[in-house]
Amino acid sequence: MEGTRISRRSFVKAAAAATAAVAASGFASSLAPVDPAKADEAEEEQIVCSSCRACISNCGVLVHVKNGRVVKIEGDERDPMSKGRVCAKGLAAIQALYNPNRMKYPFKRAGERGENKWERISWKEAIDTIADNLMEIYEKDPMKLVISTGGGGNPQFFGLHRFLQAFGGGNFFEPGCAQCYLPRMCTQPMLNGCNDTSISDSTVGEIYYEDATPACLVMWGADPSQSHVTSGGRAVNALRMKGMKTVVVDPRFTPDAAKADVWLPIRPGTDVAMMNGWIKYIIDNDLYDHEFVMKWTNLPYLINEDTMLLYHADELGIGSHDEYVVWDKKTNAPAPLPYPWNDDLDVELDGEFEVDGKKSRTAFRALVENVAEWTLEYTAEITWCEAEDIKKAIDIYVEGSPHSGIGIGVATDQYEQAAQAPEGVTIIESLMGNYCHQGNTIQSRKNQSLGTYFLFPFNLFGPSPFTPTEECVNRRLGVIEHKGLNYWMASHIPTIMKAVATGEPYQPEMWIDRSGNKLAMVGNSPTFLEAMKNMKFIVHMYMYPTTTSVELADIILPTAEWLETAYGADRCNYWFIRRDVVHTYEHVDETLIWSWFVEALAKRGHKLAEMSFDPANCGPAGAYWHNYDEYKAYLAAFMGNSFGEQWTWEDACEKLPAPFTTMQDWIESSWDSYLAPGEDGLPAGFATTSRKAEPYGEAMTIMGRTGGPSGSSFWDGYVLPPASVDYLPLPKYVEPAESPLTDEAHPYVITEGRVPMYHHGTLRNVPWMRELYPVPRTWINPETAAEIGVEDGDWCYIENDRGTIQGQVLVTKAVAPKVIYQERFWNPELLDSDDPSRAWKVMNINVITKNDAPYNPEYGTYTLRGFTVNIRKAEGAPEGVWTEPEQFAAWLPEVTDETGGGYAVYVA
Amino acid sequence: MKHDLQELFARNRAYAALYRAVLRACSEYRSLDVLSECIEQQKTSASQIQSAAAIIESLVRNGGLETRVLVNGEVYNGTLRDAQADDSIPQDAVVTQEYKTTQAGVDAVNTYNPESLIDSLIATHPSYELGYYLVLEACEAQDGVSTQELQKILREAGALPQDPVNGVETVHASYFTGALETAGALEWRNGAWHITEAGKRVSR
Repeated sequence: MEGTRISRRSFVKAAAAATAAVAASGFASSLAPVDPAKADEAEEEQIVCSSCRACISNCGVLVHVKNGRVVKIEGDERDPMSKGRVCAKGLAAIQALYNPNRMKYPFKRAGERGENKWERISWKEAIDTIADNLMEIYEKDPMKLVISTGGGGNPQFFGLHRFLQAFGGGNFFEPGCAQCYLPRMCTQPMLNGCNDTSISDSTVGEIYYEDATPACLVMWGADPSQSHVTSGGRAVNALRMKGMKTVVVDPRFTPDAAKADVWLPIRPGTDVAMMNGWIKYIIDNDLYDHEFVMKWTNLPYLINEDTMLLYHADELGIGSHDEYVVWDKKTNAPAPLPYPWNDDLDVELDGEFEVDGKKSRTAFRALVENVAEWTLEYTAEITWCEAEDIKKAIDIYVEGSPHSGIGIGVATDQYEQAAQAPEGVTIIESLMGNYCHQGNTIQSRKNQSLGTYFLFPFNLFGPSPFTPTEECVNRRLGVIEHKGLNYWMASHIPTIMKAVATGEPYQPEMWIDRSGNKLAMVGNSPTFLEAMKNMKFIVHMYMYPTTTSVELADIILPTAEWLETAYGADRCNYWFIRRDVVHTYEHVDETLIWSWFVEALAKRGHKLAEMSFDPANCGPAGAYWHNYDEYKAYLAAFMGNSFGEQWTWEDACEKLPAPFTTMQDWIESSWDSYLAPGEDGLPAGFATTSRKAEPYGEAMTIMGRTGGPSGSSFWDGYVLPPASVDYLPLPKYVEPAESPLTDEAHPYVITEGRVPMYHHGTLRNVPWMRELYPVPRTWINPETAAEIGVEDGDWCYIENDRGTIQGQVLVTKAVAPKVIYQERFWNPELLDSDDPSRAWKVMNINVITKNDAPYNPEYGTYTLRGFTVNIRKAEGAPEGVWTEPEQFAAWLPEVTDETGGGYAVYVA
Repeated sequence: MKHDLQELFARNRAYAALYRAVLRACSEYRSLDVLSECIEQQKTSASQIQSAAAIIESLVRNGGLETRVLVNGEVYNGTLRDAQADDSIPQDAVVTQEYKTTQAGVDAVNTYNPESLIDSLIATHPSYELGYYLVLEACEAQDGVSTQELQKILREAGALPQDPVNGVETVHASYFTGALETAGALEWRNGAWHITEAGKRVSR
């Protein structure tokens, strides 16, 4: 720009070009006018089969498109999970797609972080700038790169791990992860040899089978009526109407609790106490399945008390390493037990013996002792439930076994005992033999995708040129201490923060975030902001400007809404396709953005990046893509595999949705599968080291010492240094670090939980959704409300030593006295205010959640539920927040036409 | 939002050196062209993506620079907006803006003392002293040195502390390069770590 000699008329134009300071929201008035697209004649309305991604359910939908615009969404009745239902989140997709505040183009920050001033740049400039930074980081030390995603906003979850493997290092994190799904997803299959039992993550296929009704479903910290509305919520409701009994363990009186046979309003953070109470009751009353426990679990095996691990016969010189050791009553001596059983032995299940000169208990005896104190009365006292109700709940569950099942939800992932809760559930189910029978949640059937994703890291299928090096795995921040994170190849958020803030053990410098709203989602977010300010270069990619964009980003990239993306979803025995029905402004599917980064790196001589475009190097994960058509070809080929066919994208569009097998085969193939002969002619058993269910969780102990249950790290097979504390094989209850029993200054315990109109941080800017739930409601029991001095509809402050937020009181018996509930929230309307940081501060529970120790040892989980607060009345709502329907009208859709998206303006 | 120079430097680490360079350059009034060239010459990292105008504007907003407007080379008593709206100024008048460091800006530069920052860094982390000096020494090489090479040097010298429980190294060479770069003792140039003049004065 010429700055020294300039006339006044041209000055204004040039000044605007130099620092085009535009707020990241409300760009509509800044757009250059273009001729509107016109069709020569009115088109007929097309109905396109697709799959929603407003949340992780991926329900089948029919999208109506007319004149290049989405005009209607309805459910697809062929979907075996949702049966044609669509929830509010799915229906909100049109308002989300055409939201006037979409990030429409790439932008570069034009002011300081936090000022919300941006200048528009081209995709080429954006990709080149980012790639230059990536190369600089790669040359300095690739571990200095941090990338992150989130569960909301149609993420391509493992696309990030894939990118890091093509990059050659780096740390990955996600605000969920150790605080959402990972603890269950890793622990349960590690111990039960089958699956995790998360209804919301679509791993409980049993509930969609209409030909058989489970006897009893326990929803433990799970509320599918709100978190999986049209699929799990619908299916559970249908089963209830057919006579399935239900038990709900939840601090909140949710819609599922309202219909349950028993609701246990558990004190937040005491799930392991409750589980140990269930275990003791089942054992003391001899209610367990003796045959299954004896022959299909590791509970009869003898423990080496020095190591906490089960004896192998070779250690005692009585057999081979493959054989575990039991106590034979006939010989009154330890005996090797070949797989699966030896009828010549009379095995003692419950005992303590002398083996090799030392005390050795059976694992069953260790379990009995582990729960010795957990009488119904003590359990009731700790969990704030009634002993009689606990007994009733257990009796219903036991009576239904072996056709009962427990579905465990995100609640138990969100505090210090994140590993112990799925351990407890596994023990309960193992005692009752609820494995691979009709009605069980534990089944050996596998989904076609991994956690609903089928874009994979390169190393998922075995060694590859992109397998992270041992140094890389060891240097993932926090992973040595919290080995379970390696299951998702993730790093520990507090350890990342410490590294960014202090430089130890090394200084991360660059952060690429693909998700909505870290400052609304991570624990104790003010500390997160302070740490991340130290990052030198931050990229944020999302559909809308959020707190991350405004407070931290240097470049923002506009990602596509799900209606603009191509993908697929396996729904029980069906594949559904997601079709990119429109492409607006310069939006791009994040999957391709990562691909563009890799391509730009390849052009800069990055060898691994170059190799990642050659299929010969990439194995089943497939090579990277130069354009969206190549990516779609990958998707089609993957889905076609399920049908034994080679598909193009056009084939997939034509053929899907379609079943790849019958529902009966898909469901019933798992029943009694552990008894069916395996490759060696013996019963297949379960996918554990012992081939039996492993309620005695030595796999956890081994993971802590080496990196994985088999003695080395997940996926890559490195033997990692041990964690500083052993992971215990049986769950012990630990009172929350911030406890209402002892915290006099903050006498109430708070929890979170889903509401059906939002998914994580998404949709707070969709006008009709905000109208439904404009502000977070603070649930307070009438007794507690009277104590505090608040009434229904009042505004209140919720505070602790970490900060203060607000909520609007809902006085309700749906929570127990001294238990408070409030869901996460943030206020997009405040991004345009004089202080954009208020958007994530005023009503966001994550200002006051806890991200310091103690962490869950196995996964590093910090505390988002079950911490203490105080409540006091506030004068009114926080200034500037929108609460009335008319206010949200500013976000009503501004429909726009097909542009081809960012693919039309950038060629990698 | 709060406007404060030290806060500006802290929130925008990638630009701290550039901000200081501009503040040093503006002991007298300087034009945007001169400062733009200065900024471009001082850029050392791909992370420094902001335009010169944006960088300068940040310093103005945070009180590090004062401005004056010239109309046809004469000092104008008013702001740019005033000049734009001033009908007495001919349409074809040449209007420019110049920048000069304020006292706050001078203070911010004067309080920056890389030698003392480096000394303080070493003094507050005595267990890492050997590591700091090994890195400084290695980075005196004419072509600089890579992080991997530094890691090897540090490991062979036993300068990487280990966790007493599991033997894991508790810092990496990138800790030392990061800390020394922030203190002004090292810079990343042409794909390698190089010692700066300030670093040379501290290195033994």
